[in-house]
Amino acid sequence: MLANKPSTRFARLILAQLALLSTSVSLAQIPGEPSERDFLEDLPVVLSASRLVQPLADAPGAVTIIDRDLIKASGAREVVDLLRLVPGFQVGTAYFSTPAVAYHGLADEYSRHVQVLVDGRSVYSPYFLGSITWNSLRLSLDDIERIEVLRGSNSAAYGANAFMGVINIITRPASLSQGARLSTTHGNQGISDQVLRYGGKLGAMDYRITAGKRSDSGFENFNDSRKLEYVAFRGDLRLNPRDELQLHVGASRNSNGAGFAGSQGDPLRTPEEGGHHLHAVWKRALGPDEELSVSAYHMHDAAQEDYIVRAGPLYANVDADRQMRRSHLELQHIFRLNPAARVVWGFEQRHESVASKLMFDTTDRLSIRLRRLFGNLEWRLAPMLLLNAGAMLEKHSITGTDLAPRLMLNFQPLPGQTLRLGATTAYRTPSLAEERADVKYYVANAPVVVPKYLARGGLQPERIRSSELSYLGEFPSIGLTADVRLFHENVSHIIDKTGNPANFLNRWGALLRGHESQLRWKPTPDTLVLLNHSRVRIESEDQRNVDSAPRRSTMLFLSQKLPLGLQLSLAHYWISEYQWLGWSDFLPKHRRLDVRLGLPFQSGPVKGELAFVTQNAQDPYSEFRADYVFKRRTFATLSLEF
Amino acid sequence: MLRLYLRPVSLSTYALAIILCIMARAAIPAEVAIVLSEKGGVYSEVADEMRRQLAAETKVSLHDTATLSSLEGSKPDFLVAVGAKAAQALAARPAPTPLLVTLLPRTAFEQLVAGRRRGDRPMSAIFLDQPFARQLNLIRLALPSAKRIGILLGADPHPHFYELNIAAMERQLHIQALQVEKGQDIAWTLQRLLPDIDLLLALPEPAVFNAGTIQMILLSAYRQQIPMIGFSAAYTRAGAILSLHTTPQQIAHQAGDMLRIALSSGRLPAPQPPREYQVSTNPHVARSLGLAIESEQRLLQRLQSME
Repeated sequence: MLANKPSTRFARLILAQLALLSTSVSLAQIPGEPSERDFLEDLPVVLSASRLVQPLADAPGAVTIIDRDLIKASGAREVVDLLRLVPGFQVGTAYFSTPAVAYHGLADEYSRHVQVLVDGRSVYSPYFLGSITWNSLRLSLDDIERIEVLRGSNSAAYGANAFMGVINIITRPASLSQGARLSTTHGNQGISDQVLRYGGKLGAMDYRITAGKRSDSGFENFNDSRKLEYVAFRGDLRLNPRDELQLHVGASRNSNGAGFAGSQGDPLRTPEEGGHHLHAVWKRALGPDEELSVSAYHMHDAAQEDYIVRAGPLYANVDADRQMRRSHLELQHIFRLNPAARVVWGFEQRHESVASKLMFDTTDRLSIRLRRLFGNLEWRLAPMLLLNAGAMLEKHSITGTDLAPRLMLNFQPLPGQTLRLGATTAYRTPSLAEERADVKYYVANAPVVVPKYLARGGLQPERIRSSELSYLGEFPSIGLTADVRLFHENVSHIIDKTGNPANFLNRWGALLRGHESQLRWKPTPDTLVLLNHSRVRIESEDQRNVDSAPRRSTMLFLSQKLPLGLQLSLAHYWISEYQWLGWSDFLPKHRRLDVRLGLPFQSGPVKGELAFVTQNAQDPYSEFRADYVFKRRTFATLSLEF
Repeated sequence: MLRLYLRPVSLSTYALAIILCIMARAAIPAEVAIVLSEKGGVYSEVADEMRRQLAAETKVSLHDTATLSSLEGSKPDFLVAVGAKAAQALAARPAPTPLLVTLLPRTAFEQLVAGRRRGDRPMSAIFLDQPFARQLNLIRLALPSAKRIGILLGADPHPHFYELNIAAMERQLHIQALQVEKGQDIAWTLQRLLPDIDLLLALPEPAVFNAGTIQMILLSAYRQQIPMIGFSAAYTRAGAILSLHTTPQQIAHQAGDMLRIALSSGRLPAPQPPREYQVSTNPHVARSLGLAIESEQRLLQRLQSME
């Protein structure tokens, strides 16, 4: 099962990197008597160019930051829960407990318009229509330092999958998660989650190892129970004051119930999925604002799924086993051109392969090669005017070469007041299946072959031309940040299937217009108020596209610290009617209220918290399908740290 | 007669002898012996700069802690130690020659002086530490909204904590300090301190602030949007928003001036903090924290005008 060849190549690559770095050893001083060394010794560059968070006022677009405090206060069980807090995002649970996530609609259960990165590693799977493999995130929420959600197209910086936005998950440095942590969650609907973490030091390396388990029974009356197990390691090795090496290793396996009781075409089954990743990042700080980094990762996901489909007396054995591998190498250089201009540029190379008898009617591996050259110039034209000009040139083995440019002008007439005006073009490369699917059922008890999908290829990438005008107001004296974004997104060449057997074609166009606003108010350190509102109007010749996003959605989040350290938080959502693409039903407008109460305690060296969470405390509502009814979910989490 | 005749002669001879002696004394070149903690590097740079500061006729001999025996037999007017190790080595040698110690922290000098007995050689020093008043003035200039200054102390009581508190009170600043108890984790203590402070002031306490802990400290503070103030250019490079520090060359200038005064008066001036200093800022960190800070040059000028 292990991806032998790429793994060895990868290991060699890491070894070569380590050899390259065999420069001076760490300067770590033995703590002791005060001496001039304290004043004269060299120190590692900790807040390096890539580690510094770009001020919102300088960002080339709208950003929502979900930090640790918010993650905790939200009562989220997993990352997708957190995306409900981001304006313009829609989150649901689709078939077989697959999370569906979209920004501004145009999406089915395969969230293929947004890019998800964990410390720079893409968790986008090229299997089937292309989707985010949420099960291969391999992290506990406590391992996350912050999530930066870049709303709007960002292909200029993150490539083709960042068609509508980027979810950038940044995990905590191991030096900040030292010691043991243990957490256990139990609730109704079969909710049972466990996380065990230990952080320590091994010579000059800080490390953290997390092992977790997450399970629930899914929606009532459906075979969509989930069981996920994962383990993840992060090591931070300081080689010398200038060089650091980050190592991430993770593995997971999960089995989700699939199929429908009594269905002949989609019988009950429990596919077994699993995978692992190995990711190394080397960073060299060349100055306070110059950094060179090399990132390399390899990942392998595989699934075993075999079942029988029937049609009357006929039946066919379906071999839905699949394997996906990806090797990725990236080089990035950040430097200052002059006092007013900063440049980020880099190069990426990727090799992906997919093997699926069911999808491609072959046991061969199909591969994709990808090369990218990217750059962004951040140029302060005047004290009040900042220009971000970036582009990515991408050469894809299926679709050829595309250039995704972006221009954003940030006008800052007064401190804390920013107006952004910008435009960008982005592409989404068709997935292997959209280009080459060849799905047919070989009937076992008759000489019949039933073709289901036959892709004829020759697709053009989906294209989005988006422009935005936005305002960011920061009022630190009253703890208020307001962000209002007006967008105009013109999507063309939308790929959709048609015919029987189904073929994929560039069929539709859609014009998305609207605005979304985000208000964050922290009047005191104990109180946090978030208010999101978004309005999206979609015009398209295809009615399904028109209905694919809620026209109005509003979220109000309140978190308040109470006496005795208690923390109460509430999140109230109002979502208007919409319908996902794919086999989804029309979902009437609904409300949802999440409540969390946290009770921290301490006993000697043990620090802990007992938290009670209710998701959707009010009336049940439907997610994705009318009969996927989200009923009140209640769970309690006990976490201990020592 | 003879006696009468001889007397003035002998008087004038005496006078002549005395004048000659005085002249001779002036003509014997003054001698300064510099002892380095280690040969080379920053220590040699300091010695070279000091030598340039002294009059050309001053005899300067150079030694290091490994070759202390070369001092035997020489009779310098003043000894200069460069670095804590040299200072300790010289303080341990019983001799009357006055000693100027340079390039060491104030606490290291005070530890040396604490063990002195009557009759030990006279000692003075130029510390590396900036006076608290100067540090706090800089904080008020650069980050006027910061009122609660966080201090992370080692397990031993800090000898100048009271002094720091007084200096802060005089400037309407509040010192919030936490001690890292023995066996207690620095990270744990820092987490308790950060919510209550506007900035973290690093002090030269090697048990708390060192190359091994700086990553955790800076990352934790940065996550809570708390800027840190350092005490060396390396701290600024590492991610402190600004640092106040004196370069070894500046220490050497000051040492040269002190030696010139000592050579003419025969006595060493009192121990003193650095006279010259620099401000280094990290504008990238400041911008990322949403703080506007003035240029290094401007801050230095404004700080100097306050002294």
